[in-house]
Amino acid sequence: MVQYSRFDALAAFLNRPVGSEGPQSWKLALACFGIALLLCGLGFLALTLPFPWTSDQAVRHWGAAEMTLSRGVGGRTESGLIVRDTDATGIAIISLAPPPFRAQGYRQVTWTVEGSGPDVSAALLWRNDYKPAAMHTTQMQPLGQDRFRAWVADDRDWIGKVAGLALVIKGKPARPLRITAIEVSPRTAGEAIREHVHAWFKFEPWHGSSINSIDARAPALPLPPFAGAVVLCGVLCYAVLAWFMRWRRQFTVYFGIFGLAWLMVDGRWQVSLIEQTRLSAASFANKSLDEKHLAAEDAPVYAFAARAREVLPKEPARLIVTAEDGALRGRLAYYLLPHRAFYETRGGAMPHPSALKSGDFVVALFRRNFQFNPSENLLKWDDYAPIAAELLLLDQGNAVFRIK
Amino acid sequence: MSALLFAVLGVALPWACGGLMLAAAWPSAQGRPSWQLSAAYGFPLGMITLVLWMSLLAAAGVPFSVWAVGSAPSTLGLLAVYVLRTRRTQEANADLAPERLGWQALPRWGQVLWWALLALLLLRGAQFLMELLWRPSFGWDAWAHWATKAKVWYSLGTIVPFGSAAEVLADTAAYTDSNPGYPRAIPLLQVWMALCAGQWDDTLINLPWLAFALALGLGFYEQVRAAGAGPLFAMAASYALLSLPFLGVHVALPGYADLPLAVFIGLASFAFWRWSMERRSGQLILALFLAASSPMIKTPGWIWLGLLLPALLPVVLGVRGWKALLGLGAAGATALFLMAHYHPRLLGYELHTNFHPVGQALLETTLVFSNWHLLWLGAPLLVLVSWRDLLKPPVAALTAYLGGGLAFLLVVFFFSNAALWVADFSTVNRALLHLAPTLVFYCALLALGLRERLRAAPATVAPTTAEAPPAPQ
Repeated sequence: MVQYSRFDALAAFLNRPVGSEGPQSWKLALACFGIALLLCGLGFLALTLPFPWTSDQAVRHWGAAEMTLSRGVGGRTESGLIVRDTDATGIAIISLAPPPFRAQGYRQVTWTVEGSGPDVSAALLWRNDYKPAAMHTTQMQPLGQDRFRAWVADDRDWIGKVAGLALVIKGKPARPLRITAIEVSPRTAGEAIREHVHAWFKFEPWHGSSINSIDARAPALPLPPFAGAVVLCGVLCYAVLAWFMRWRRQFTVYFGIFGLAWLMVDGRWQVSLIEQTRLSAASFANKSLDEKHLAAEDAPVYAFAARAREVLPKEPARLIVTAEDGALRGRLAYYLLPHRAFYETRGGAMPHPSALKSGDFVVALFRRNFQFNPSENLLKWDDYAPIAAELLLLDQGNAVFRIK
Repeated sequence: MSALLFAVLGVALPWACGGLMLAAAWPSAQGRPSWQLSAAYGFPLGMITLVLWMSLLAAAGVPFSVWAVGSAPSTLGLLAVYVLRTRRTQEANADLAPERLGWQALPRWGQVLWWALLALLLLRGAQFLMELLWRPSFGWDAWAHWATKAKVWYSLGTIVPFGSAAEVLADTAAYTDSNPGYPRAIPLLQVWMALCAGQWDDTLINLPWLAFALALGLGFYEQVRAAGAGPLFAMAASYALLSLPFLGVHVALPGYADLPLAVFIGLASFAFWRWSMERRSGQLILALFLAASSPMIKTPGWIWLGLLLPALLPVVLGVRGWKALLGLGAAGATALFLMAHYHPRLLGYELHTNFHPVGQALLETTLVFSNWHLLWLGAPLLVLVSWRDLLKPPVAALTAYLGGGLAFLLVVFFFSNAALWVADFSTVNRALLHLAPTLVFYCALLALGLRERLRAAPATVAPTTAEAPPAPQ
């Protein structure tokens, strides 16, 4: 028989008037934030990591010293195995013969391949003792610019004892790839958490685009949306708790939950800034202005500009500044001010020789299609007719000319 | 070291001049402004005074020198001191209270938290100062658009016009850079810094960027306190503003005009809001002066100035103002839509009717990347829970202003060639930065409103025996 009186009691309990504010707001905020952090962490794991979350198996790890470049162009260095190019069929293979180990319990294989980009893809090969003659394969997913990963747990051929592993690189790498490690792991919850925290705290120094956006791509689990989910979950927790306990809702609890999440993302940013300060101090601290410029990313441009200024007149003269790269062109022109530099950061074609007049100067930095005939003192660029000029400075292929 | 010392003095002089002028020119009937208000608004005011004076000097053919340029702010500052000493303030108002910072009134734990947040901000500021003093101008625009002019004007001792590259080739202009038509206030400020440093120094010319951030923080704290926030809330909100990574990057890698513009617009909007509440002319004059000066910093300043004026309507006319604003908005949108067929250029952006699906890039940059912490999550949430209050005082003025600003940005992002720069993240954050201080201030106001609503929620009722639920049978 249904005990109606229990429902009456519950209804009465829930409809009772609002009472106190509950525990102190900072305790509530901290508790709700902690619960939300835990729930969101567990929720993320539940969505992305199949059970089991623990394992007795140890992670297996091999370095470049145990790898062999079976196909492709490259070689071994102290820092890893370098793949400069794929072979004629468009692939490179890096193989490894580890001591045989049982596949069961190992769910993920990760190769560390530094320098990889969208120009290359990768596949994992392995051999097991069930069919020793057969080579099994699965596609690997890129993880940032330095890893390829394969989830092998669901592969029907990932069984028995694994006795050989290999990485197949397909495509033409735009720059040399450095293979440094392979890791075969059971992928536990602890491992996943460590990896995400590591990704959050991965330091990226200032670069040319930092002024436009701090990140250009996010890790698998970016911190700001995770913190946002924690806020939403924490606020919900508190709202439900306050409703159930008939507490009067406190602004400071909402504020506290949001503030803690803010401090979480800001803490990460602060750690990154400390690392950046350390890096900048190593490059620039206690240096003169000239030394700072020579420690900066554009030091060769600055150094060439300083040498060019020595052969240019003291009074501002008209210069044609040319370089292949728009940024270098603009930077060189900046260092040569207050000379009257003609340059375009976008485009950058040299003007027709007829636009130049006697007494103008041409400053060329890393510029192709630029020829000077010293015996006849003729300067020629692109497909134009040569014009008379005097070479004032030649410095590692960069030059200053005066138009005659 | 002496160059650094003189550069610091170079920042201090226009700052002190602006602060003193503000205090001296403040309407007597409204008392004297608090030191925080003077200090916050003093820097942009002093800076504008300085660059106007430099423009005058150049027009009169007087070559730039520390003495020639520094004479006007020094004289004006001394004059302001004289006025302040001789003028009798008729009545003190709340602004005079020296304890506006207010941390002393907090309980012990509150004081600890207040100082801890301030210490974190000071640590951040010290890091930015180091970056600023160590690293020569780094960002592209810094040396491609702004410091180019400053370096030439410093070297020649006067302002010379910049033209296109083709004009330089044709000898009809002497100098060129990536944007020869950009306004002159920022380069002139850098000229002044170089004059003070005694040489062209690619680090010291950027010192004012830290001063801009300081002024913004001070002004924000002061105005949030004026909105009725306690010292801890005001400090936490100031921390939220100054800890925004994208704002920090523009201090650490200075030389862009976006942070100064954000400071001008932010301080103007805070003063505008305060005028809407107190109706004291001093704040309105401040708001209009700063907003009117912002086109001298960067061209989009015209837009932010243009949006401030219609935002006056709801403040002055109430509901009728909102109706008028709605009408204006509809008319503007229609006109824009019709004009877009002819691909007009608006501040360098080519408008058209094609929709660019850059929503994902916009969401990534605001919610996923590390540029804004949780600002773009918190702001919509606060707007959502406060939707009933958005059109009423105290936030009506800023609702109108921010609504217009964000609508403008969305039109530009989705219906102009700027979509390309949203997709590659090159411009989108810098455009958002202009409105970020105002948005944080708006969020602080909404949070204060939420606090009041929660406080006004059903009063505590102690259960009595008569009201107690019946005991289970």
